[in-house]
Amino acid sequence: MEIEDKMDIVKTEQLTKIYGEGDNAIAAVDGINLNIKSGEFLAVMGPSGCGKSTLLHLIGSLDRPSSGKVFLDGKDISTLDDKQVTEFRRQNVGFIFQFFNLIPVLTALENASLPLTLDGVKPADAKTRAIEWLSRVGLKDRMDHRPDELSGGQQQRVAIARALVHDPALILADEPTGNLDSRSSDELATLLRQIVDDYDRTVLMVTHDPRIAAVADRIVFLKDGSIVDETYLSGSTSERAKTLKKKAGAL
Amino acid sequence: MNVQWKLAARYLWGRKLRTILTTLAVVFGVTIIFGMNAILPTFLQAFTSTMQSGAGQVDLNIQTASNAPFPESVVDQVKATEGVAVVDGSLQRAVILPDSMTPTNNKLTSAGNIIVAGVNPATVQQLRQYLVADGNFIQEGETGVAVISQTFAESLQKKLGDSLTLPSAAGTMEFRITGLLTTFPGPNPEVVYIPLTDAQTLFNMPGQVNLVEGTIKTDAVLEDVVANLRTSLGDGININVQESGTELFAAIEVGKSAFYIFGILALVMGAFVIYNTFRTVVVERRHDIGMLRALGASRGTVRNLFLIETLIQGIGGSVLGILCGYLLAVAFTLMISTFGQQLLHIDVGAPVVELSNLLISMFIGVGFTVASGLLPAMAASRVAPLEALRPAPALAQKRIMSRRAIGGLILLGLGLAGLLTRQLNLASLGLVLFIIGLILCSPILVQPLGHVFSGLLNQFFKREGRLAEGNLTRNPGRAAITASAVMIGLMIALAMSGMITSVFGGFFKYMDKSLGADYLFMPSSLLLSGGNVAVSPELAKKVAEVPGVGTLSTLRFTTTKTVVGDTQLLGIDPITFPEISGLEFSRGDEAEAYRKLAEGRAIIVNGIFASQRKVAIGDVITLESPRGPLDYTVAGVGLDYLNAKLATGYISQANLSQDFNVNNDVLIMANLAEGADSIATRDNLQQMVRDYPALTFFESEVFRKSQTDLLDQAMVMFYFILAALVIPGLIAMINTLAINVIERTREIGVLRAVGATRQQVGRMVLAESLLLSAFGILLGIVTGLLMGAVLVAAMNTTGFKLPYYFPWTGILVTIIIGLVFGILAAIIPARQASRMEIIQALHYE
Repeated sequence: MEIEDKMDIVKTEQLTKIYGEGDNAIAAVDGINLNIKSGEFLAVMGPSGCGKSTLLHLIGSLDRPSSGKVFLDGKDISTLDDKQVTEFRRQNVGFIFQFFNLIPVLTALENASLPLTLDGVKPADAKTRAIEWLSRVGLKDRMDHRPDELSGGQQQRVAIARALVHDPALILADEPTGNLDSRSSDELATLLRQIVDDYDRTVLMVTHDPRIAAVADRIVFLKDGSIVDETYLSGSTSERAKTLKKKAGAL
Repeated sequence: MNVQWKLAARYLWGRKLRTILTTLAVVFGVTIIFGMNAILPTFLQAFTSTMQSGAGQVDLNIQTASNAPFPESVVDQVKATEGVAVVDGSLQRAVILPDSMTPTNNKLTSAGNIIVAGVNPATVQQLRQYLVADGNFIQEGETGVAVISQTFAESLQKKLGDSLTLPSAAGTMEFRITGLLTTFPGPNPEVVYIPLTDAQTLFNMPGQVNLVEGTIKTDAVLEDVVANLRTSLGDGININVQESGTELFAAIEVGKSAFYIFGILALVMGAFVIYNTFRTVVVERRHDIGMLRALGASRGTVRNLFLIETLIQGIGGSVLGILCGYLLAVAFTLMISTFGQQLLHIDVGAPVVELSNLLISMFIGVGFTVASGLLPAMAASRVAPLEALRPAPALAQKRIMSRRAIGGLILLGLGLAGLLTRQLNLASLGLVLFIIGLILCSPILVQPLGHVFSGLLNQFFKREGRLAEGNLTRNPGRAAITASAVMIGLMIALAMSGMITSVFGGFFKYMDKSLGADYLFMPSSLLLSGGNVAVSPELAKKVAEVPGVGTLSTLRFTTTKTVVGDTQLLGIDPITFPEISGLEFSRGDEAEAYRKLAEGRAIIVNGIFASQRKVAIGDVITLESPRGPLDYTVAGVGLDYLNAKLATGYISQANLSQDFNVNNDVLIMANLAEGADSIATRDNLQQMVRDYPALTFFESEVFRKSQTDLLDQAMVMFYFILAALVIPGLIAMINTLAINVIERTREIGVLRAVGATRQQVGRMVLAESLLLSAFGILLGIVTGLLMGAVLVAAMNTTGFKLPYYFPWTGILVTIIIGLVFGILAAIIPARQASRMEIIQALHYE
């Protein structure tokens, strides 16, 4: 099937977020139009302060735009009130953050089942599905451990399981490898790629690390709140990485 | 939702120390409320059973004013009166058993004096239930039988079927003991029940009774029946409606409210602690909150998570508080039982667990806890998911001059105005407004007061003082709330100790004045002396003749009715009385007043009387006597330790004899003659008084000591309560300091990194703690002084002239307690702060 026939999971129209007032006003995100297709792995890169995290937050409904629209899975989320958008997010989006990912007083299993528990799914069902995903990310034997008993990489893998347990339409990852050493970073990137390939998910990842971004299908480059470049990737990992480094360096 | 409970429990468990501290605050409050209110019903129950065993079901109690006998026909007259149901006539007199029969007794009881009650078994058992443990009560038509209590029989070493000899007008009479009664604890002397006809023979009063008791019909109105009786019986007969002891009931009700107030104050302090803690917890946990919101938890879910945490602490704290309250009540009961026994002859049983008390305590405890966590919980729910994911929050500085502070200033002003009016009701209201206003304003006071105190602080903490001051002023809200909790505790401590000093001081002054004599002969149960216990004036004459005895004066007693209702009437000798004892005059000239008493029908009224009915010197009041209503002129208002609780009037013994037919003494006071041998005199007196067991002989030194000992015991109770109130303030301080330290972890890391030693960090925390307590001390002293003054003024309206002593020692003690708290509270947090590892601290988020 051609990529063009698949529907857009994410579509933004003139998405803008402005901070400050009057002379001090800054557009962190400036009129961005972005489409992400179902099953696509998109990476957003750019120097610090370019607005990539803000963009991700806007798409994930964690923040409200100053103007413009966001459509998630066809629904205009800017019309929803707080309660509705919370529910929508709960059912349709999965999050992986750089830090503060897990609730420290819950076990890996409990953390992974959170989206389901919050949605009112029966505890037994939630548990089953969470175990399934934890096994897929290779943490079956660490299910009952608390975050402080897991390494950084293991914690992020729990976060991935959690981001998938409720079958969301979209997975958002904000600098997921920012706190990890290079080996764990590679492992994580591979895992994310696998998720997209084997389970047909859509992933939007923000990162500044070209090696990690290299696993994506498409890269979008941001600078000062606007998209300045984009590229599709192919070839072996090292080739992709080289392409990226060149592109990133040009910015 | 399951996950909220799970999270709440895990969070609480994860911070054990803080959870314990906040829960402790709740425990204290509930302990006081539940514990104190568990003791009072016990007291009440014991007291009620005493009253009931004495009074039974009786509504009416009819005697002559002097307890003189009247013909049995009066009984029929009463029965014929409309509205009267059951009537019983009896002949009751005090009898002194001869030495040979007197069982062993100690100094404070006199069981050798008994009451012989000649009763009509048919009617008297309709009025009262006599619990017969063995044998039977008197049967109708029986003669020559007696019924006594089990303990009395034991002390006489007699059993059922033995004979009992009683002294009679003609010699002695023998009775066979046919029944033993269960003994109720009570202040009355032992009663021997014999048939009425036998009693009439015994006392040589054929066909007469001296007490008629009755009940009214259920549809009758008491006032009407009493009016009817007065009409048919005429003047000279005292118709008493059963209500003695109501005074003590009222006092107990006041006690109940006082304890509720104390408990609630303790809970208010607990609420401060919880509020402070949860505000911080919300800030600390903002990442988790944001995460939950990002994952799709609704605002309600987040809010409920925090509310559940407070709920768990509330329930846990209340349950623990109830348990501790029960233990406290048990401890108290053991302590007070000696007090109750000696003064009131009441056996106080185990604490009573009333369901209502249990439920109310739980409700108040849980309610306060959840309410205090409500605001932080709402704040938590409003944390936007995004905001929570940012690494370091910008702590919004609260605007200092908020609406709250302005409101507080207004209340302060109003409060001061109320206090300055010097009118009790307005002043009390003013006090409450002042305190609330102060609490609301306190955040703005933090900075200026901080400057003031830090000057002093910097003397001791040269390098750390500035930092400490800055730390506090950075979050004035938290500092203010903590200081308020400390303030409440110290304020109450200061006010109560001031009042206790006044009360003690006042009472001791009276006691010295009233019991100025060296020797006293007093009835055994001081407070509830019913008046049938008196001795003939022979004893006073004999005492006066004992070598070594100097001046002597006696008191005589009866009851009458005046414009304020039932009034005690004491007969004094206007010449000897002021020499030996005396009244504390609040109105009228002393010498003048006594002179008037000697000259004619004059009366000195006491404070209680005067508070119920304003009288001026020269006013005429009417006393009801066996000779009909008589006019007496008021000569003064005087107060006396022994009769401080009931409306009393003092008249001359000549008048008491002439108008009321009372010639017997109830109290004899004597002084040691100059130069006499005190030991010999005392021995002589002790010898002589053995024949008159109605009164007990005291050296007033000994008596005074026994009274002060009892009061001291009662005071221990108060100090307990004070401690319980002050300690939550300490908890509040520890809590705040601990929070401050944790919040500033990274900052402390930086301090250490740039070269502060562990000791310096520790001292910084200590300095902060002392600043906080200085704040609380200042507020506590200001409000405590005001409260103390208002309390003494309130007491003065009850007719007690209490002196106001400025509590210098109280202030000193308050300052010391506050400073000690400051040091104690700092110990754990300072240690935590100084022990932080630099790198970990720097990485703390």
